[in-house]
Amino acid sequence: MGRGSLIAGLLCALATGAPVLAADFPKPLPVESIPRVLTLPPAYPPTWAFLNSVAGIELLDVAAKSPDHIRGQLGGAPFTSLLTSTTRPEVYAAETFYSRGTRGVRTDVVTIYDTTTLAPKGEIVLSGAHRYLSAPQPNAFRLTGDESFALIFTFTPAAAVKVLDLAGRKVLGEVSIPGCALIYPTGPRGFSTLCGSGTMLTVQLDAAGRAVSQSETTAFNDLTDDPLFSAPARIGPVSYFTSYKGAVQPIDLGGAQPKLLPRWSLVTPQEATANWRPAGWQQAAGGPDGRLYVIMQPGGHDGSHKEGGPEVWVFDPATHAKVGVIKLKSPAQSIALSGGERPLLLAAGAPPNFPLGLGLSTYDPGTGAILNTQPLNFLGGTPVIFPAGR
Amino acid sequence: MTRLDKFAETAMRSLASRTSRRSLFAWLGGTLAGAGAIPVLPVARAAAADHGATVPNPQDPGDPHSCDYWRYCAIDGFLCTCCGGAVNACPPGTEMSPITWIGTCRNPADNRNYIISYNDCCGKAACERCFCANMQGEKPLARTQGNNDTVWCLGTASQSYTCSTAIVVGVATDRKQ
Repeated sequence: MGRGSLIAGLLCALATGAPVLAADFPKPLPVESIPRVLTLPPAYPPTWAFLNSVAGIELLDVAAKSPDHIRGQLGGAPFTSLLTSTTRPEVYAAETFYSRGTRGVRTDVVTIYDTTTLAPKGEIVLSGAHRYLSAPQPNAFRLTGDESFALIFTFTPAAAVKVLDLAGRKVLGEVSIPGCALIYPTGPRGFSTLCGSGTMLTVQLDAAGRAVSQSETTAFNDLTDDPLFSAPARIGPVSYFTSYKGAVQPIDLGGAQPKLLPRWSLVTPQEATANWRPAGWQQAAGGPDGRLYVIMQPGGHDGSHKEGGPEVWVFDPATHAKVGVIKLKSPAQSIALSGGERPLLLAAGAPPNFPLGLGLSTYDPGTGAILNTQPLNFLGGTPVIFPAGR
Repeated sequence: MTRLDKFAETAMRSLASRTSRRSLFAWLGGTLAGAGAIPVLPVARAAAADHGATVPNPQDPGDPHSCDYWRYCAIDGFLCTCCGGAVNACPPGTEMSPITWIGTCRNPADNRNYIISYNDCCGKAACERCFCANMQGEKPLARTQGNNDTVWCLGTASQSYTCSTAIVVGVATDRKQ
């Protein structure tokens, strides 16, 4: 277009109000079909992850630039709890509804969502409607090791675990676990739970979902002075429970009975003096590289254990050696490692006492370089990241 | 009963050891002297009681709308003082949970450690105002009564969480520092 025609066009536009460049687009935009709803690939890319917060569950691509990183959402009821499967094209959400919004008859349901449509394709209604409601707690809703059953923690505050048959879409039964809390899958078809007496109770189930054996360890969890965080990092069959003050208690949950492995410390005596401590919500993560990643906080004190921290320390669990330090751009409460051949460190956090402003950053765990940051406009901290890629 | 008796005895002895009769008279005298400053109209007094912070109490210092108010040392949730309720009362139309968890907070005015019951108010939507996440003495769920991740709307008609209160239920006698 020459300068003359541009001026003419401008004058014409001023005179008539017609679009300036319409003549350059002789054909109008094509008519678009209604309705149109996107679907997702059967196998998610390795950079995809679900993020579970108090306000809901979002599926996002950690490699995409904001605001184009959201891939969809699940549920929507407060205190929804997510469970992902590696063997079925399904994702599960434990949801609670009231017949009159915030009042009326309470219905607890495990909704089975299709991974390609994110639409519900089945549900299991939980009799009693007593599922545990809390800040997102991944260990309140777990699959058994063989993924045949889902286990869901219930709390009135009497504690129990409901056993669900996912294929048959029904509740099989309930196992009472008085004085104990949460679920740690143990062996192909059992679970363990942490008890108020500092022990771990283990229950094995039969093919019908009934409890067939029960055993309890000696006390190893000092709940008064140095308790273990509820969320362990998993590497193979071993769950690594970090303590408030910097110990790590590995427990092999691969067999029918838990094996308490030797306890070791994440911190040197000098670091302990400076009160470097694990901190956060999903404060530790196991990598596909076999490394243990822990959010660490300097100057830790009574009450700082959920604030998160500015660094992620990387350990070789075989030698207990610290093999890396990743300095975060902003403190994280929760971390996870993505799937794929080159796993990424995902770190989510929110400033304390400021629920808005939750963000998710992605780091190269090898170099510690930050690759991406996405704002997550959820209400509430304590996010839980579920890597969803295959 | 023996354990309960022992507990009561220990609590009373501990209280007595730190509370002299003279200090009781001093406190009573101060209270009576200051009474003139408090409105005597029953309506005004009721209104003040309902919203806690209207009449400053030097023995209960701080702003109950702020996360750093001493009673909130382990509160996790929305402050009922910002939601139509009070520090020790639920907003209208909600129900206070009878089952809850407790924290222990030091009152900077009298330097005592108090047992604080963080009863949730239930039955309306989440208030979403004045969110606080303080964790002093907070424990994982295995120590159930010391955990604040939990929606403590238990034993209420609705478990829909609205906001949290912080109620003095006693003086702690053996707080570990």
